[in-house]
Amino acid sequence: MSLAARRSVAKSRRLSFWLLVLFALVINAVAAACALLGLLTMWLSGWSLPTLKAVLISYAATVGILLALYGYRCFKNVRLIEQMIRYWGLKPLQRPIKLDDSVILGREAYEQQAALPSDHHQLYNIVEELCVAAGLRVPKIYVQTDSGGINAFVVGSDLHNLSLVVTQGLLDHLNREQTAGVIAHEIAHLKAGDHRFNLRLLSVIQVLEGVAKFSRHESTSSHWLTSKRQSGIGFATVAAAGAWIATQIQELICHQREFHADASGTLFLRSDGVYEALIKIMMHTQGGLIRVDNAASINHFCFVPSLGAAALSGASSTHPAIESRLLKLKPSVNLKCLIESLERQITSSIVELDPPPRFETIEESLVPWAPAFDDMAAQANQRLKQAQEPLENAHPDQSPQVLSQQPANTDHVLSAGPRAYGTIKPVASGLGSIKNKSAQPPYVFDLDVRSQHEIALIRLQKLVSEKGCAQGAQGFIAEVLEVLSHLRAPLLSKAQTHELLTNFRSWALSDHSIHFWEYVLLYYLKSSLLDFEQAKLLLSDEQKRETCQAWFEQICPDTERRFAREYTRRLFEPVHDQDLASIELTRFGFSGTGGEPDRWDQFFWAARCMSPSRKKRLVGLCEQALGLDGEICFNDECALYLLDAWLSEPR
Amino acid sequence: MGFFLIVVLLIAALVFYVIAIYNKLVMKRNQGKNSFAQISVQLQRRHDLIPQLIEVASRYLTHEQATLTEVAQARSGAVAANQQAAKDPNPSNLNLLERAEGMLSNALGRLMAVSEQYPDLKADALMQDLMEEMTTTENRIGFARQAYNDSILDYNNAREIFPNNLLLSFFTFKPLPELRFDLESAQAPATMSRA
Repeated sequence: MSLAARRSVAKSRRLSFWLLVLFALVINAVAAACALLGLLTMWLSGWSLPTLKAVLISYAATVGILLALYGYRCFKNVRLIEQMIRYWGLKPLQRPIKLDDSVILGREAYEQQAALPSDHHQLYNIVEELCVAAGLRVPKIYVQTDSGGINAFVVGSDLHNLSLVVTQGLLDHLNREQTAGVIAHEIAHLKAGDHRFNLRLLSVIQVLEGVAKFSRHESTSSHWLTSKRQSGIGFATVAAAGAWIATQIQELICHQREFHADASGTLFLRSDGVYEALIKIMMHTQGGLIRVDNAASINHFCFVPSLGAAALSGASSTHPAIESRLLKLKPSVNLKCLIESLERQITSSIVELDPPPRFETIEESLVPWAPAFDDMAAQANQRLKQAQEPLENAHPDQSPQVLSQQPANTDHVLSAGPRAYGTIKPVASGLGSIKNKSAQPPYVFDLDVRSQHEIALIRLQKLVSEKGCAQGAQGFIAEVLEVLSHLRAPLLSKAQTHELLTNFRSWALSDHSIHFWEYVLLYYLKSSLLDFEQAKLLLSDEQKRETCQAWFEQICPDTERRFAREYTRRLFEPVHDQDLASIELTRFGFSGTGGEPDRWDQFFWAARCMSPSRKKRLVGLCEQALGLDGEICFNDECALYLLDAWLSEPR
Repeated sequence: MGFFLIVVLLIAALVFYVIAIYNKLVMKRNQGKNSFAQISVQLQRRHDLIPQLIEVASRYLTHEQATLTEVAQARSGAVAANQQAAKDPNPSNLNLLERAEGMLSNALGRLMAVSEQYPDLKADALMQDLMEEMTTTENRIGFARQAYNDSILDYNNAREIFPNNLLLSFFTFKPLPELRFDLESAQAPATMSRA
């Protein structure tokens, strides 16, 4: 993650540098055009032909005038924002009373004062932490209590006089890590100097627009001569065109700056706070709405533009679309993209195959928010299946079961796997060759393993979306295991393996299906999908802990418990010392509490694959189900409620 | 005369250049030291919080005196190591500090693991505040350490590049050591924060 973030930071920095150069060129071109127009007017009204010196002088004069206007606008804009904050009636948060103060104040006085709002305490802590990370002074912090949207912005003229405003919605809906993500984004803006930079770009454009307006006004007033009126129109056109181009470039620069802040915020945090906060905002009905007058004018400085959730999925003039920000942060996770690209590759190679009706059994109405990729996945699946059948008929002795007993070949393919994974070309060309019935055997083998893997992946995603596991049917488990046997571990990307593990865990938690979990354990044992070494590398400590907890919660008999303990030990072994492993054992083996299983991950996974329209329907359903109308917050409880309803629905 | 003037100007330019390099190195070294002071401040903050943590925890963990004593001992070791390292940040002292902090983190992790079994303790308002403070302090230590490592990378680079390294034979600019704490196990408080 950190490498991707680093690359993203470097890339957006480079891009915004070149855009800035372009911006400067445009401004200079406007100044030069204005200077030339002025001289032309003078020449037309009877002056002598301008010399080079005169051209240079008039150019310098134009630049000087523009600079003076720009300085004035900058000053005005800074004042405007300060006035705006005052106008909204916001007061900066006091530094919350800290535990350190209990020594000075005494216990009782401390406890009285510490009873004040604790959210702000945490907020203050987060801001202070991130200021330590960025080496900045702590800004003044304001809370806009009227806004239910999740948003934050930072304004100010210099690094010593900054104001950070967060909405009440942010405090209400985000957890610590997500809040830290939003704040880290804002602090990254501060560190990159974007608050000043935005003000300056804005001022330049305002100057150009001002010049255009002024010239237009002058050209229409009647007391001017015709030639001067014409040159007025010329000025207006040049300045307006300049302003328009500058606005376009500014938009691009702003988008790059947002990507930059997202990535460097992630780098500060070394966690997915920014990503999760963006998803949470996407899921929130009020999106990033800030309820103040003139909210649009501060959009430049916000985490997301002050818009509802539906409008956030499109790019605005100040921010890129929220999906593209998510995609930039985690290019590998987006399943929809993976499947789309797969689909494209497959359809380009096999067009004439008709989809059979095998997967048509799921009714749309029963699965209200079945992920948007469902149909595509089904089609891709069918086509691949169809493609395989003639192949297997054509080469009965080349079926995967037989071939998997040829170690030399398998090694070759598997070792070639991770490198070749990004491009699915071999599959496509392989499929093309089936069509021609002239496939070379090694190529067919290559196609088989990989396409089997792809099919298995799609089927697994389909199984996840169906959640047939709710019935606890043996058939389902058998199907999952069958699918798993076709997966090839080296072909899985890191993100995909993470998702698989998350899904296993959430299945086991949601369905209390001990059998299923046993099978997954067996899987670990057999190491056919993922062995302990890999698991140890791939899982974060938190995930490890959760997995162990799941083991202990799900496996009741004593004999099983011994296994679970053994696995816990093995999972923790090399990373920490033996003591820590024993602590984990104590925690999970003997306490036995654990509490409510967390299904948020599961929901998260479904939410990631949903299209915006489906999400909207989901929210509507949520409102109906809970008998609420008006402002409903799409929070964890609703999600859990819906998930439960969904899971318990007979299929 | 003209030749003489050129030589004098060249020498003057060289002297100014050397002064500039020297000043830059000094600034970077001081920045590195300041970053270390930041870590030291945050470690101090953690050490200050621990007695309160023990006080609150001892009200509930009556049967876990051994764990509490262990934390207290680890703390006093870490405090001593921190003072020594702040006085003279040489590699051996830093090594000692790293080890002491690692022990403290381990002891705290054990305390957290034990306190998981006491719901009353987890529900205590003061304990929750303490947890938030511990979380933020751990984060700050992490961030300060990042900042320190970045600044000493900057300093060490400036020290070793040509022509700055030629100056090293005239002035002493010792390399600043990197700092690694085993904070992985110290992350335990984060799971108990009021997220």
